Amino acid sequence: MSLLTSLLRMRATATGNALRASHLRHLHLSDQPLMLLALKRTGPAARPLAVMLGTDPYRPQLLIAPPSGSTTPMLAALADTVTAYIDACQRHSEYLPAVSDNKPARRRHTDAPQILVPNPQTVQHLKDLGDALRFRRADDQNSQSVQRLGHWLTYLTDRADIPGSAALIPLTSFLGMHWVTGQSPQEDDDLATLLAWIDPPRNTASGRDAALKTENPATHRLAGPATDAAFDNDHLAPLFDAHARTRTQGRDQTRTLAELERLLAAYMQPTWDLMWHAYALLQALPEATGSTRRWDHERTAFTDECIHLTQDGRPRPARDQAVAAAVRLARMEHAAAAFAAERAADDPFARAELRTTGAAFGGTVTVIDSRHTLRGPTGRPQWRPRLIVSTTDQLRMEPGQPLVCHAHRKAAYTICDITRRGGDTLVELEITAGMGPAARPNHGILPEPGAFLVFTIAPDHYRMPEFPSRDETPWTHGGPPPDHPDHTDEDESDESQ
Amino acid sequence: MDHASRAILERLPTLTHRGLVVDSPPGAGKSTLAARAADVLTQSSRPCAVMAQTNNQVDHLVRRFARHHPHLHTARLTATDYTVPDDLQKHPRVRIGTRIEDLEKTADIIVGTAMKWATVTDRRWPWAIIDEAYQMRSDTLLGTARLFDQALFVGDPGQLDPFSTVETDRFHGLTHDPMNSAVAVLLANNRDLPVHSLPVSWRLPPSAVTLISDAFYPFTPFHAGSSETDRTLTYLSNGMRTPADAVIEHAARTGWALLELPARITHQLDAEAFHAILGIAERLLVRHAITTCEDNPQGHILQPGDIAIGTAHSSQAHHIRALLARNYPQLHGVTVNTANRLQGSEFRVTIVLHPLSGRGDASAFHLEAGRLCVLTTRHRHACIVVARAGIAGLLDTHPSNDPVHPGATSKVPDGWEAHHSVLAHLTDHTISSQTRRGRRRS
Repeated sequence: MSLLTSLLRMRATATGNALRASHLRHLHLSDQPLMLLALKRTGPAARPLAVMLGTDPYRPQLLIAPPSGSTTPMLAALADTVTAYIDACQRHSEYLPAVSDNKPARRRHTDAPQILVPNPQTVQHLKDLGDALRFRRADDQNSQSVQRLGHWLTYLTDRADIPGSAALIPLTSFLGMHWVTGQSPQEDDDLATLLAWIDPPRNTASGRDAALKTENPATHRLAGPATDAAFDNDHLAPLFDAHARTRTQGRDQTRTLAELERLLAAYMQPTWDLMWHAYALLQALPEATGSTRRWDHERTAFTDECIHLTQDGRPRPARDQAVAAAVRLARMEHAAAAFAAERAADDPFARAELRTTGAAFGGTVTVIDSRHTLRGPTGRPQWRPRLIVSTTDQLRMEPGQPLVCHAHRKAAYTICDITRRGGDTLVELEITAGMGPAARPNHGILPEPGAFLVFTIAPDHYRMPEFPSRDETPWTHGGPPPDHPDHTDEDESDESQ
Repeated sequence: MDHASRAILERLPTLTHRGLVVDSPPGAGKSTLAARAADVLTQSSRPCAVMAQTNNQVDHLVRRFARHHPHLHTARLTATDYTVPDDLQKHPRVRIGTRIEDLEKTADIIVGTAMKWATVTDRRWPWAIIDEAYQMRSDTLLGTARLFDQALFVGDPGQLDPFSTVETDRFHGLTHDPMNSAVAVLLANNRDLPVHSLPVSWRLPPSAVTLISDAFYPFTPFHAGSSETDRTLTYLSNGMRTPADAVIEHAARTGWALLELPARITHQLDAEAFHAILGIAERLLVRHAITTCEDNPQGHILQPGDIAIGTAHSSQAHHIRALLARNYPQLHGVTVNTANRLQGSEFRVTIVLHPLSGRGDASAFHLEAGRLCVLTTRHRHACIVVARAGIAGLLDTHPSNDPVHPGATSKVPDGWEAHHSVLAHLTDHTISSQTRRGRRRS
């Protein structure tokens, strides 16, 4: 937690109302997301209890796992809905022309699935479920679709690990990116109280009062996947017992099952409505430009996964092999750096936070030396205009530091000199990219004198490290893994995210 | 050169295993060994690829080759955006290039960062030497392992582990965890590889070795290469009985001192502690400290360049540097840096801001054993720690509760425990900033 977030949190505590932590929405929101609320049975690692899902807030589909016996029919029904949703995203595709030799022309789906779940714990639950299902044997129609569901759940939960990805988003984290409440981060994990802080109902005085009211144990519902112990004991256990009794006595079970369905529907409905409430709040935020690019990557990744499924179709391995793990880590790090850089470029709130941590400074342009040129290594003159920016920020940078600026996205800057004068710091910058050749200078790159600009530390130039192919895993990492001898390198050579 | 190093060098040319790991405590002649090994290996095959982890480390190695192994042609493989220091650029026996094609024909030894080596393709040499291998992430090793048949891995297991900016829980426990150090992954996948450890620290004074060996290297104990009489620290001028004077006098006698400031939660930027640190450095210079050691038995007057100030956070280092430039011009030349940046360097006297000083909680970052180990093992004569009171209590209220992952192995002891051992040792060396006379508290 940065100092600024701590300050906002304290301010929210003092006023009783949540504060905006971001000017824009940094994740793409689909027009038709698949909302998914899952409950699991207390005890077993990945035995579902119920799932409420759908793309229509008023007509959710409720799937109930029977108290005993096989869950396959319920999972098959879940698989049908999820797969139908995912297949709908594959319906249209666009043509992308070749960019270079290693990026040939290709087709990309115009849409990608987006699943919204209430909290990070549900993501973990879906991950466990995916691990359990994707290696199931596909003997009949039902188990085939269940295996396919496992495959997609693994894909989606893997995407959720990548910063800036919008394939599977826990709503509490999504809301927490954009609002700061006056409660602790642990309390923010609860969707109901978080929403009460952010958007209190009209008849309450403040977010804090609304949050206090939602905490009333009589009405408060956990957003899953775990259920209340009280709910388990007082409501579920009697029904399960009744179900077991009817089973042993050989009587008809439909009545107890219908009762279970009624009970769970009533239990889940409030959270379902809250999830759509959160969606509406997030939908109302203006979207950042960077999120479009990230959604493009999401669609590329989704297209690649569809190709993998049709061409190979084997489930992803239970554990990453050496090369795959290294590739995944490199991608995650790259995605995190790119996400942070794009947020800083898009959002003044993000820049303000960077200024408090010393990763950025803001100041007024006082002097512009538009004539400054250098002799390049070949002797040709290079136009390198210089500016002096006067700032009162605590500067924690040293000369030679490369910078970028939100107002001139194509430009790059380097600090030449830092002088302190009283409370102000004068930073002399040289423009090192985006100014065009000396013969055809791009004067648009020069700021107006007196303009207030924020400069942030330039993200490291990223290059995907060259890893060996899977079959050439070196002896230091145990040599090529034995299983799956014909396993293709997936998409390791094709780097886009 | 000790017995252990000589044995390793003799074994190297006829090694039947694909690799050899050398664990080295701080200042045990790791770089000397790496340089000599390169010399030995180039007698049978050339060139020998040498990898270090940062440009600074690479420059140090190149300098060592140029000075101590002048008969070898040394080449420096560098990235285009890094400027090699002037002394190396002008050096007649060092070639500098950004492409392997320009260097491989003439060079006996090619030195570069592992990240740069990862960009080299279609080459394979019989031998490579990997320095600071415990700082190398295993995914970097994965990207460079195709370059060599056999390799010598040299490193210090007690230093900071590699880190990542993203959540890496999913890799825990894998034998090829890309976040683990290169050596950990190498040994997990090749359990038969010989592991040697160097038993003598030539840097650390006898006063430091017992504590450091027990607290940070419980599995590979080592001893000091110097004796109490070799390493002395004395002052030409008399003190003024300020706490800072008491601290440096105590450190001169015992090799350790802890200046304890009154308890207070200060967040990262603690101006009082910063001034105390700079005040101590100033007293060291003003009182003309004289150090004697095996290399300088006749005595050496302490210069600003012999002093380092170490912190946990870069914002702290930056503030101290700014204060130094503004208010302490006589300290110009003192190194101020974070633990990460001080790894691998050596100074006569170090002044350390305790990672837990002024904090209200102890996070995994601040408890990391490697961080404290780096900070307390850079000195040849004395290490002075500056801290707010109450760290023992802070440790007791924040026991480390990181989950233990099956399959994950570490040569580094638990940070919480290491912190307690160091703190317990320092209680006998504590001087309170508030007692005028600088009374020792025991």
